[in-house]
Amino acid sequence: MHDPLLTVDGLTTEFATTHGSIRAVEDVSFDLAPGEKLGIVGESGSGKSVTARTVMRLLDDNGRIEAGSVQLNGRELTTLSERELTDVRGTEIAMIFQDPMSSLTPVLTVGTQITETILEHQDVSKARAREQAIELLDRVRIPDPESVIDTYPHELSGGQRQRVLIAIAISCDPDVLIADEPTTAVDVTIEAQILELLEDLVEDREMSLVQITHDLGVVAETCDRVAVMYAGRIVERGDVMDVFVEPRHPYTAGLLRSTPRIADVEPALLPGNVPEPGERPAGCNFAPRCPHATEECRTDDPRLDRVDGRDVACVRSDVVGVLEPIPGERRHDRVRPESAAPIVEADDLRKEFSSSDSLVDRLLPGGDPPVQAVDGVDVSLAAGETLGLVGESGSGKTTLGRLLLELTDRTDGEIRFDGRPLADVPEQELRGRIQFVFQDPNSSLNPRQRIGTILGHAIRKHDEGADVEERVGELLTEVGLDGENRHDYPHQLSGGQKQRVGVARALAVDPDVIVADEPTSALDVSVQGQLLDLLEDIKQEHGLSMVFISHDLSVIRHVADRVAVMYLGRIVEVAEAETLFDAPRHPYTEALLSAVPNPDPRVDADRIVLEGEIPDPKRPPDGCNFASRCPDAMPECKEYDPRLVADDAGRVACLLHHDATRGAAPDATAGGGDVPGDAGSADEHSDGEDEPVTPDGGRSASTRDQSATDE
Amino acid sequence: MSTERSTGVARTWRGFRSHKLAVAGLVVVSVVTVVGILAYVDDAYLGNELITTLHYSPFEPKFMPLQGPSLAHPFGTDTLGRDVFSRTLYGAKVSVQVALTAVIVAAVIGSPLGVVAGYAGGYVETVVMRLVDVLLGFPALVLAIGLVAALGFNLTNVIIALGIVYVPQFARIARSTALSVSNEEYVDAARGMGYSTPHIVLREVLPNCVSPLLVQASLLMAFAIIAEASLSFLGLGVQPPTPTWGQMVSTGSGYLTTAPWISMFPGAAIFVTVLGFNLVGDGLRDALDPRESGERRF
Repeated sequence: MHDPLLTVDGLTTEFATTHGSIRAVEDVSFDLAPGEKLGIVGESGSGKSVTARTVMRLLDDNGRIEAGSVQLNGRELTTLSERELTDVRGTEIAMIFQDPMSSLTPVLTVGTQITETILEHQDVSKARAREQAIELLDRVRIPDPESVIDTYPHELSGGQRQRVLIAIAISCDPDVLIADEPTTAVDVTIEAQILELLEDLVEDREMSLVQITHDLGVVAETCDRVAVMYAGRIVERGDVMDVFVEPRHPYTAGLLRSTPRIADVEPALLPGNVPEPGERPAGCNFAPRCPHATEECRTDDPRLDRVDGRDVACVRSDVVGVLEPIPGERRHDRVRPESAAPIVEADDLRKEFSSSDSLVDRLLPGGDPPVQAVDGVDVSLAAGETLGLVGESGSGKTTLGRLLLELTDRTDGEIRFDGRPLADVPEQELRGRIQFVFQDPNSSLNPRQRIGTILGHAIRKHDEGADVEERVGELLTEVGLDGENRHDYPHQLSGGQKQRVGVARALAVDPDVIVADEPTSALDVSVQGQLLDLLEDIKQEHGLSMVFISHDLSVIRHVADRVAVMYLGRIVEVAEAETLFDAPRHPYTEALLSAVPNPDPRVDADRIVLEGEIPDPKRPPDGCNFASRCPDAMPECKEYDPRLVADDAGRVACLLHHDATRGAAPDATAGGGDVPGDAGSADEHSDGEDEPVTPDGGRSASTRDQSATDE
Repeated sequence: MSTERSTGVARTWRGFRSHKLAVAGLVVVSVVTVVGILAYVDDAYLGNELITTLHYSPFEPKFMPLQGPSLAHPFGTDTLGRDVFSRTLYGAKVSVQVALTAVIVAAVIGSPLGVVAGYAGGYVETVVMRLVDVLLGFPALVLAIGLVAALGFNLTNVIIALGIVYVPQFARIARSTALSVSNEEYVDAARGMGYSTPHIVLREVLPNCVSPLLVQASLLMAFAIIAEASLSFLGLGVQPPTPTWGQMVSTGSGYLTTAPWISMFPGAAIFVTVLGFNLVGDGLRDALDPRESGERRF
């Protein structure tokens, strides 16, 4: 065992606020050995980011280190002057921030921002610094570093910006790298790339890594040791293998159990909320939510004691013993109503966004081609089912959801509601039968209206004679809030509570269909579980159908009966949830599934790391949209645009699978002789399938096929 | 509804109070406003009883002209032998009247135009905002002079002219705020509920645009006071014998070397009032900006 490189001991950080002093971090201690990878994991408000910022001495003006010490290479950091700190930061300890969009200066080129750091800490010429910067960019695997170095941050994608930030952080070879949620703002396939990159860098350069994250899967896959934080304190600390496989603290176990997994288990509920820093209870912070809590937990502050090879802050760990990290319950069998009539159907739905809406720009020639946000999508929702819509950012899943509600006007295609074209459904009826639950709880409620007013408007709109006061009470109770919450303003509620109000508002009109757009992505894991359960209960009780849009496959696995995977405006695969998760067929689905970090450290990550990023939707690649990143791409994939072809297991848009289809219908090809997935073969196989919609569409696919073969 | 106001107002007031300069500005603005209102009441309903009893009439030339400041006449007397102190107090009447009503006129016309343009987008926005741009293309004061010259020199026309001149200020701010508010999910939620467009504009969008408009209004008051003074200085505003600050500065400008007090005191009154409104505006801006509220900063 080496001497620790970084020792944090008894660190306590306070913030001065208008309501007095708030203790964000209390008595936090940990060591970091050279080359070690430590994960600090916790929900929002746990103090994990504040811990990192305290170590770096990057606190806001109102923050203050109250007690404790931070020693790096035997040097005390808490007492260094600002001048001395500049020498330490960058060369000995560096940090990668969460938001790649705001962490780079927009007015300076990437190269300037990297060389700036190098010149600050190293005595080298400008030309040499530039060479180093190019090497660094290459090191963080940015393609074509010589030209990227002269670009501005806005010209780069989110993933590339994150790489640039990493390049800056490692530019002066720090001993310790602190990564504060480095992958929270990027997509899952990019996350896989970044995590892999970080791992390689840390190993190559023998750095130590502190990984701050809310994602247990990220810790399980990338870290050796872990510190679990709750309400400002470390509750359990030890090797990932010990802590995640045999957790001893009830919070660690609860968090692990409530995390939705790809595996075939039902997440368990962790009730309650993380207390606000000013409202922490006496005794153990977790006691109010702990199933094992007794009276003594509510009086005594538990100390971090050595138990079973790790440190646990629980006075009852002897009694409680080893806890189970994986929920016991098997996944509920989803009974999809057989032959239920489709309630919403969309045929060949299209949405183009022009880069400029101004009249002059539209009349003048030139300019960017329009973005095909949704590019010929057929989708149907059977009554009573939950359709999961999954994809990365830019896949068009949100636009598709909004099209179904006519929140966005469609460019082309048809939507039928209850068998009637949408044009024939009166607006009033439509709004009363299909409702939306929004993503961002902070923006989805009018900040100037009370909860009662928000719900009251909705109730009165759809039932003039309703007893509004009574209905508001009913709705609030139904979503698990108190009737008295009607007098609150949105800012007085927590994120989870706001999202419940969002659900109540949707229910106020007693709809048949709810489209939920990432309703839990802004919430903590335990709160997310509670909201998902609420949605499930409400769905059962009201017999609702639901479209659930999410980027998170584990969440989709948990809620959906049927799943549609989107990529670049198209659906690439549709299947029953079980089929899709157990036997994905499209290479993109496969890659997405393998990229989801698994919170079980025993499962060896066998990630398929996709190259590159989603192509520019203004100029989609020829042939299959996914061909440019597909690990299984064949030469013909770059020529022919596969359409969504149905078979027994679902529908998939991939030439690999169309081959089999073609074999069954050798004559049903058109155009280039070996063009699979054309109209003929699709019809052939739509006969036996149980999809409510015949996949005869993909008009653009046909025309693109045509143009490809004409050349 | 009343508590809704009080919570928001209470929070804003706490933020405002912590700005010492803003509070000083508010004191100045309040004093000027009260003086203006008293002058109005005295002039319109009491036949100048009040001022005559307390001090001297601002209208009757019965003293030695061009007397310097003394105990009897703290601001001196003007060319006709009228008391400058009384006239300065009465000057507040026109300034406050013009600034307040002109800004209200501009806000009432400009804000809804801007909010509708920002929410509706498309052609509505193009048409409204280009018209606003045309209006903005003229230098404000030149446009005001032109309008007053066309309409005639009196109080109402000065108010109308300044009201029109400041419409673009409100329209532009209302539009940009409404544009960002329209992208909030609660506006989508309202559309998804099937609420009518007037409901959405009035209940969801407009209330969330009020803060920046309020700040703009208080800053424009300062501009309106300067503009009114400028018009009066040029003789295009409210006509004598009604005293206005601009007119008094203008009268005194010929005697700057011999009797500077005639211009100096009304000039100082303009300066202090404008400064007061600016300070109030800055204070309001900080107090209404949630990012500056100091809560949850970690």
